[in-house]
Amino acid sequence: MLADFAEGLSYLGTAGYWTGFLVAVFITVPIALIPGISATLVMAIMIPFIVISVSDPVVGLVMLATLTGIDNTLDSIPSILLGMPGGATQVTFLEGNQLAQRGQAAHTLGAVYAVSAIGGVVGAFALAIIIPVIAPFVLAFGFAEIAAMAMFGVAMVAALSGGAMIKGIAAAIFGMLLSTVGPLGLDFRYSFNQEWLLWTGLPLIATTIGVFALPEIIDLTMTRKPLAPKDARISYNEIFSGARYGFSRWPMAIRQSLFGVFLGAVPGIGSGVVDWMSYAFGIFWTKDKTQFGKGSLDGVLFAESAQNSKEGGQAVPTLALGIPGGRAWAFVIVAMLAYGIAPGPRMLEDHADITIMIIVSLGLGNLMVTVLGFGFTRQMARLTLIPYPVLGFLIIPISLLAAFQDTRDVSAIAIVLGGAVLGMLMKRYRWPRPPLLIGFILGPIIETNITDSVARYDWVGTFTRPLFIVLVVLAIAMGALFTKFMSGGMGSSEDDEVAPGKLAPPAGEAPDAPARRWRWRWREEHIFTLVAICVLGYAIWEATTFSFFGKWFPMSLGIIGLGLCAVQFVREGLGVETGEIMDIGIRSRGMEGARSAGLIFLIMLLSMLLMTGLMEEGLKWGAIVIATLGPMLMMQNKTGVIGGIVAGVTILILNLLFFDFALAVIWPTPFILDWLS
Amino acid sequence: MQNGGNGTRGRAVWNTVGALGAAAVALVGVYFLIEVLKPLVGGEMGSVGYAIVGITLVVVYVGLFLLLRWLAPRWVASGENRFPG
Repeated sequence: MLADFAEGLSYLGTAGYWTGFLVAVFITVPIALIPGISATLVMAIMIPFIVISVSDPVVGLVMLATLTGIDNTLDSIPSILLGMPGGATQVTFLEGNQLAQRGQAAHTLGAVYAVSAIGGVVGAFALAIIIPVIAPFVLAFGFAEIAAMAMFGVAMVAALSGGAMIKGIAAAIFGMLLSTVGPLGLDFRYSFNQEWLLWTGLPLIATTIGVFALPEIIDLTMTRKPLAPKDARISYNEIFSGARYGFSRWPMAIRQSLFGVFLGAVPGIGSGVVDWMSYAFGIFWTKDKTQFGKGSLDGVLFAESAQNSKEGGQAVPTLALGIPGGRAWAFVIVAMLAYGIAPGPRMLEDHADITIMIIVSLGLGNLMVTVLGFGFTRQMARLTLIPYPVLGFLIIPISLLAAFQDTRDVSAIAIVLGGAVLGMLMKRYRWPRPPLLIGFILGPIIETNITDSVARYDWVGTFTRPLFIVLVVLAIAMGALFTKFMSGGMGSSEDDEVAPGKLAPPAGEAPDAPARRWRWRWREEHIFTLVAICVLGYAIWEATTFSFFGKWFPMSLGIIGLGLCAVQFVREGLGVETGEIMDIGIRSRGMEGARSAGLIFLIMLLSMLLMTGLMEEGLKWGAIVIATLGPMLMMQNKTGVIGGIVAGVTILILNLLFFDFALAVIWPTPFILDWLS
Repeated sequence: MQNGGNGTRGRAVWNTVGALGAAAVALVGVYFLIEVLKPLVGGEMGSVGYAIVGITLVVVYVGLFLLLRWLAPRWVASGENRFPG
C-alpha cells in the first residue's frame, strides 16, 4: 500500500501533472468569477475536452477534481462583491454582502481565503485518513438514515429562524411543500395539468435564484448606490489583516471543516444545505448569537470552511463506493468510467495512485486559489465601488439564462420571476427565506427516502432501525437545544430604531409597552399570512386526491403548517412583536426615488421579457438593451451613461463570444409567439 | 442627461441623443470586432487564431475593467452616483 502511495506522489515530479493542474486552475478562475456559472456547468463543458485530449487518466481526473475543489472558494467572490449568491454560497451572501456594504469586502475575502485553505487541506487530510476504513460506515446509511440526516438539517432551521421561530418553521414547511410539486409514482401533485410541472416539479436552481438572488439584485439596483460606502477600505493591508484573522480562527475552521467532511460524506445531502447546516452548527457554538444575520464575518467563515472541506467528504462515497457525493463528483465518475476506471471498493487496491493524487490536488488547488486570491482581490473589491445599477442590469439576464440552462424550458424564467415576487414579499413582511430554501432542498430527500424505505422495510421496519432512531433523537434534541439557545440569544430586538425592511409598530403603540392590552387589530401583514393559510388549506384539500404514498408527506406538512400560520395570524392580530429574523430586509425602502427606481426596473424587465418572448434569441439581445439603458435611466447622470455603455459592451461580449460561440448555449424560444401560434 | 436642474430641455435632449449615440457606436463597434474575430477560431490559422482571439478578448476585458476601476473611485468621490432626486 505504501508503495502505491509513493507511486501516486511521484506524479508531483512530472511536468504533465503540473500542466494539467495549472490549466484547471487558470481555466476555472476567470469562468467561476462570472455569477451564475457553477463548477457543475464548467465541468459539464470541460469533460469532453479533458477525456479526449488528456490521455493520462491521472492528469485528466486531477484536472476535474481540482476544478471541483477550487470552485467553492471562487463562488464566494460574486456572492460578497456583487450580491449574487450561487447555489452553495447563500450564507456567504447573507452575511458577506452586508459586510461589503460596510466597506469590508477586502477584509472579508482575505479571511475567506484563509479558512478556505484550511477547509481544503482538512478535507484532503480527512479523505486520506478515512477512505480506507469508511466503506462499512457509509453502507450503514440506508434510505431511512439519509432521511434522518435530512431531518437533522430541518432541525437546524431552529437556529436560522432567530427570534421568529413560528415564521421560520412555517417557512421551512412551505419550502418542503413546494418541493412536493411534481410527480411521485402515479401522482402528479399540484401540477394543474401544466406540462412543465408534470414531469420535473420546481427546479432547484430557478427557485433558488428567484427566491433568494433576484430580490436582492432588484433591491440593490433600486438603491442606485454602490454596494460599499465612500470610506470602503480596499487595500492589501485589509486583505492580509482579514487573512490573519481567518488563520487566527484555525480551531473554529478545523471544527467546521470536520463537520463539513461529515456532511459531505453522507450521500444525498446536497451541497446546497452544507453551508446552511455548518452555519447553524457554528452559531450553536457561539455565545453571542445576536451578531448573525446582520453581517457577521464569523458567520461567513463557518460556511466557507465547511464548504471547502465537504469536497473531501464528498470524494469518500465517490471513490470508495462509486456513489457520487455531489453533482460535481458525478462528473468525476463519468470521466473515470470514460477512462476505464471503475470507482468503488477496489479503488484503493487497483488505483491507489489516482486516489492519492485526487487527495493531494484538492489540498493544493485550495492553497493555489488562496495565493491567487491575495493577488487579485484588491482589484476585484473595487467592483463594490461601482453604482449597483451598472452591475444589477448585467447580472439579471445572466441569472435568467443560468436558470434556463438548468431545465432548457421557458418555464424556468416564470419560476424565477414568481420566486422573486415571493422572495420580495417575504422580505417585506419579515418572513425568513433561508428556512424556506432548506425545506425546499431537504423535502425531497426526506420524502423519497422514507417512501423507499417503507416500500423496502415497511413502516415498522423503517422506524425501528437503530441508526435511524439515534439520528432522529439527535435531530429532535438538536432542534430543542437550538430553540432554547436561540430564544435566549436572539429574542425580540430592543432597538428603538426600525431596521430597513422591518415593519414599524402601529402608531400610538410602544413596541415594548410593559402592560399590553390585547386588542385585535387588522394589519397589512395579515394579507400575507392569510394567503399562506389559503395555500396550505388548498394543499391539504388537493392532497386528499393523491394515493397514500403521494399524500402522507404533503398532507402532514399542510396540517402542521396550517396550525403554525393560524397561530402567527392571531399573534399578528394581537400585535405580538416578532424578534429579529436572519434575513435581509428591503434596503431601498423609504429611500429617495425608490418608487421611480422600481418603475424603471419594471419597465426594463418587461422590455427584456417582451424581447425574449417575441424574438428568436431575444434574451441575448434584450440583455444587451437593458444592460445599456438600465443604468442610464436609473442614474440619469454621466455615471449612468458610461456605466451603461461599459455594461452593454461587457454583456455583448459575454453573450456573443462566451455563451453563444464558445458554449453554444440554447437560448429561450420566443414563448409569446409560440403561445400565439 | 444631466438632471441637476441647470439645463434646458434642448440640452437634455442633446445629452440623451449623445448618450444613446455613444452607446450605439460602442456596441456596434464591438459587435463587428466579434464578427471579425469569430472566423479566426477553428479556421486555417489554427492555434494562432485562438491566440489572437484570446489576446483581443483579454485586452478588451482588462481595458473595460481598468476603465471601471479608474472611474469607480472618482464616481464615489464626486458624489455624482447618488441619485439627484
